[in-house]
Amino acid sequence: MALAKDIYQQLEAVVGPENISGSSAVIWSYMYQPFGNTKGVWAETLPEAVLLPKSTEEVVAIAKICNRHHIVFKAMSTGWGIHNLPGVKGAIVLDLRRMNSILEIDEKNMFAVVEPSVICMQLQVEALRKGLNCHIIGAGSNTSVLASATSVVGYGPDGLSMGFSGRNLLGVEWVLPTGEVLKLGSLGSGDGWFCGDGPGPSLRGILRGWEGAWGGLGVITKCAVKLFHWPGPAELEMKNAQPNYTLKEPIKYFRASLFNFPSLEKLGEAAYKLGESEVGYFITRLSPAFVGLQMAGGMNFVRLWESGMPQEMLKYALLFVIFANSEGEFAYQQKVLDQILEETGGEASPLAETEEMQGLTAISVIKVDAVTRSCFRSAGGFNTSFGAMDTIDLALNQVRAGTELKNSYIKKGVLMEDGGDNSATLVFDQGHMAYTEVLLMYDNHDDKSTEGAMAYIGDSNQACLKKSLGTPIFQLSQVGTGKHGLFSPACFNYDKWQKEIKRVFDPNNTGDPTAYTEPKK
Amino acid sequence: MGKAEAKRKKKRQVAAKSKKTRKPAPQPKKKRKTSAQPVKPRKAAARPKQKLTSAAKPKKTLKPAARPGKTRPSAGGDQLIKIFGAARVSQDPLVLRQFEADLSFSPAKTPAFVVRPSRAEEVKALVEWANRTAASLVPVSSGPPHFRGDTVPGREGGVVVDLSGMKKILRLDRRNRVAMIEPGVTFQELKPEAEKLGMKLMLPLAPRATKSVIGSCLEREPILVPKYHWDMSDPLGCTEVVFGTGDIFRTGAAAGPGTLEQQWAAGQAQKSPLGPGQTDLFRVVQGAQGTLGILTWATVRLELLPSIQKLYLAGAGKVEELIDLVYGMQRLKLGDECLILNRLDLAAILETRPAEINKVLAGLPPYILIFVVAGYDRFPEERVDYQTKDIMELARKHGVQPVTGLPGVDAGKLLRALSGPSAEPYWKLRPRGNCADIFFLTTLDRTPGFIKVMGEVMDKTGFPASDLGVYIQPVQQGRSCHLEFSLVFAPDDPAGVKRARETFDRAGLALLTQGAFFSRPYGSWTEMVRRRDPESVTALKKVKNIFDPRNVMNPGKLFF
Repeated sequence: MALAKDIYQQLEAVVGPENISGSSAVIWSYMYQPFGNTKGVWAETLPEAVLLPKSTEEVVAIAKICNRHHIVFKAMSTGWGIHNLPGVKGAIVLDLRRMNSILEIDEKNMFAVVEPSVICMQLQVEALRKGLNCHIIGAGSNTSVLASATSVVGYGPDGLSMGFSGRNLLGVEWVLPTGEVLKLGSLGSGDGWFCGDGPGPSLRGILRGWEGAWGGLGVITKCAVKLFHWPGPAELEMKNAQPNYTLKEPIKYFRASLFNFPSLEKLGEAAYKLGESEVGYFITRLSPAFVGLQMAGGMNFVRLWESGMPQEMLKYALLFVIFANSEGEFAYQQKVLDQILEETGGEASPLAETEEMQGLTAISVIKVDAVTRSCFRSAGGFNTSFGAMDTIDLALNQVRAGTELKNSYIKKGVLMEDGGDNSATLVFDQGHMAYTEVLLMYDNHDDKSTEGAMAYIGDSNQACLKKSLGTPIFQLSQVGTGKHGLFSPACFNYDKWQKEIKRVFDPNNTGDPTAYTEPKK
Repeated sequence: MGKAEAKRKKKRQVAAKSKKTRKPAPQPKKKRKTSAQPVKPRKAAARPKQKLTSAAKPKKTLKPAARPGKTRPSAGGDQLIKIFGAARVSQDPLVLRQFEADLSFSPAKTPAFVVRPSRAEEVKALVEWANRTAASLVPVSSGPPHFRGDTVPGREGGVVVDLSGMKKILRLDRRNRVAMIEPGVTFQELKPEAEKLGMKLMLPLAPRATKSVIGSCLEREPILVPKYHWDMSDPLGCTEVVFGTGDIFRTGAAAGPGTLEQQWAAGQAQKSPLGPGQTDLFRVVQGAQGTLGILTWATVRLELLPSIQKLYLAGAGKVEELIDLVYGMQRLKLGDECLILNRLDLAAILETRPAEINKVLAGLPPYILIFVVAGYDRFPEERVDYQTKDIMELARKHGVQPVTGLPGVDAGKLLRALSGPSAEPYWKLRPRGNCADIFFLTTLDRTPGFIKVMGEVMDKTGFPASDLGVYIQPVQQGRSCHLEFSLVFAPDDPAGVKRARETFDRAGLALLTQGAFFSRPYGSWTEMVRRRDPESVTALKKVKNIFDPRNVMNPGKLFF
């Protein structure tokens, strides 16, 4: 069903003929979406048109047209998976790539105001020049700053010192599905971007929860996010070529270390102690497979894995970075770290100690640039499981449950051999919160492997339910329209309230409900 | 001024002269007698004797309300007794009077009943009853005195839901640094229990002893240690809430899957406030002044208890002289407690009697930056040393000279005052007997401008500059700050009350016009906030309609 000519013309009048297309060639360029796909690599539901709005005013005008004609629309920015496309027929896509400006960096008050398609790398480069840095999610520095803070989900390994995306949100400009503009917090009162809460109850609670509404509740056109102090140089000079960028010069008071522990329990104990001691800039528990995949892809990974080296050297490993503001702070943090390692039996891995590895690791942790390539280049298909946020103990139980379950699928030959434990455990707010994602690699061109991956995800969801391991990452938003069916009944029927919210804020159900929820009838 | 307002004003002036009046504030000593006494945690609340005696008399509880109102539930007493038992339902005029007014300028309204739930199921039954009978419920978790009008019924004949008896500390978890508590648990009660396990409770500035921890979190009161204030919602974690619909809901990780016990067995501790799903409903309940639901428990983040603390002060003639140092410290996450007070607020926190307060403030500079450097379990001296060195270097750069003492200021005494609830009388009432606070959010660099605006308003109204307290609290790790002006006045001086009221009203509007963000609008501020941000109010009304469609929760408050 193509858009009716008159509707197309109305939309075209808003964005200009060069910024709208219903051509098959253009639309199919959006359809290659291997991540999150339950079958193959192509999305199934074709949108009717793609629009490239440039401003809030244009988004408002589009939303109003859609409301008049009951057309579903869905916004996307950097687009990291199938959840970026509408899941209903007859819908249109708002590709926000032209809204890509950093509108403000408030150096004193440590925040930036960004449009939807500003990527983390873009913001980081500008922020570093002002002695600031931004939180980058694990999916990488090519992702939208705004999307992870307002609309989707995502965690970053620098969360130890820079928090969680959803909690780093300040003022927000939000085009509701009806086309009304809502400005959250201090912005709504015309007082600036510094606060996203109030007056009275915080509408951030409607905008997003543990994850965002994935475009199901309108379009966020601008937001302010927190920035954090950056003690390093204003520009990072690098040598070598992608993917092996390293720093030309070491950064002062920066030290990345990889530690091995005698057990997962001891590793957890160290993570608790490091967190509460308020030391460290970056911490992540990396499983042998996770590290191996960042070091080598494809057959190189297979060879590395078969050598047994990662399993031997990195069974219970923690990547920990100290990045201090002064000599005194650096010395203090190092001393605390040494004491904790002694208490927990942690030993430094020689892997990270060479100057080359320090340079590589520094880039990897500052720019978070290694995860994406490590996920897709080994088996083609990639997905993730578990991942609810709460404590470090929960995160380690997610590792245990995921490893056991995944190994049973690896034995069936449907998932890539990675020891089962292909996970990253990240810690936030100086140890106050943590989570583990258990990754799975599979061949997305092979039906049996893809079906196996989906079956594993289904079972991992059941494990979350049965073992009280929290609501898993992504599964709420990616597994079809019945996504809340599993977890809402187990979590005080939260979807009942989401349906009400959808009903009152989107009376015509024009915000694509696929990855959010259908309104209450 | 409308007729109704003139009538209320006259009523308040008359009230100020009479001992039988509801308003304004009684003297602090009298308040102390009626305040809920501290009780041992983990046990049910001990109510003041007077309340227990009167509430226990069934005849009184069954009498019609002393002052029937429009929404007074008919024959409500019997049904309430069915839910709570006679001993926890009161219509005693003495009890009702305790809730009909507070120390703010909010008009007095007498409730029909005061009920005292002890568990979530009772709260649920109460809310369902209110939905059936169109009764209004006014949740109150802290003990008196109250200051903001949010706990005064917005309508005659409401039911006060006194949660101060829900005093269980349900769980203290050292490993995960978290406490799970009921709404009646006060700072006074939780602090020592947390400290026994080596944990520190995040405090607002010297809260009154009767202040509920959950109440403070729900009001988004600022905490003293900005580096622990990652998000505006901190330190609140998960919650159990009964919405205005009567539904019980749990927010954050506590929602599930699994019971709390199953979650604990899986290593969880209800730390993550996020979710469940794609909403953060705890954010909606926070800041709602009881208009959307009633919390029956919540978790709050705790931090490590310092083993060493060193307090520093830096005086300044103008607040702008201190701002850059505060920015620098917050940016580098140096120091723990960090705040700026003017001399009146500092003296009032340190001393209890007006004469002593005046003596101390006479020797103080106009503004004082206070910060604490702390060491915890590991190499505490070394932590204090490097932090002090780094802070002093910053201070030199910004031309500030932190010292360990100022004339009349005992650093140890001040540190104790910042480390716990206020001693009696509550410090805000010490200088003159009553106090009206004007508070809002802004950024640190804009605070001098707002202080100037406040001064201009006081010049016009004739409010004495010496009776103005100023408190600047960095929040969100220094990205913004809470700025609070305290107008202290004598409640038995009608002219002084009038002047304070006029200053309060005019300053609120002047500050708002200049960009003060009233993120927590109480009482008369709600109307001016509504005019400033009508779109948010429209959205909030939609939210209200979802969670409290019959408007039984604290009607007449906020925008509802």
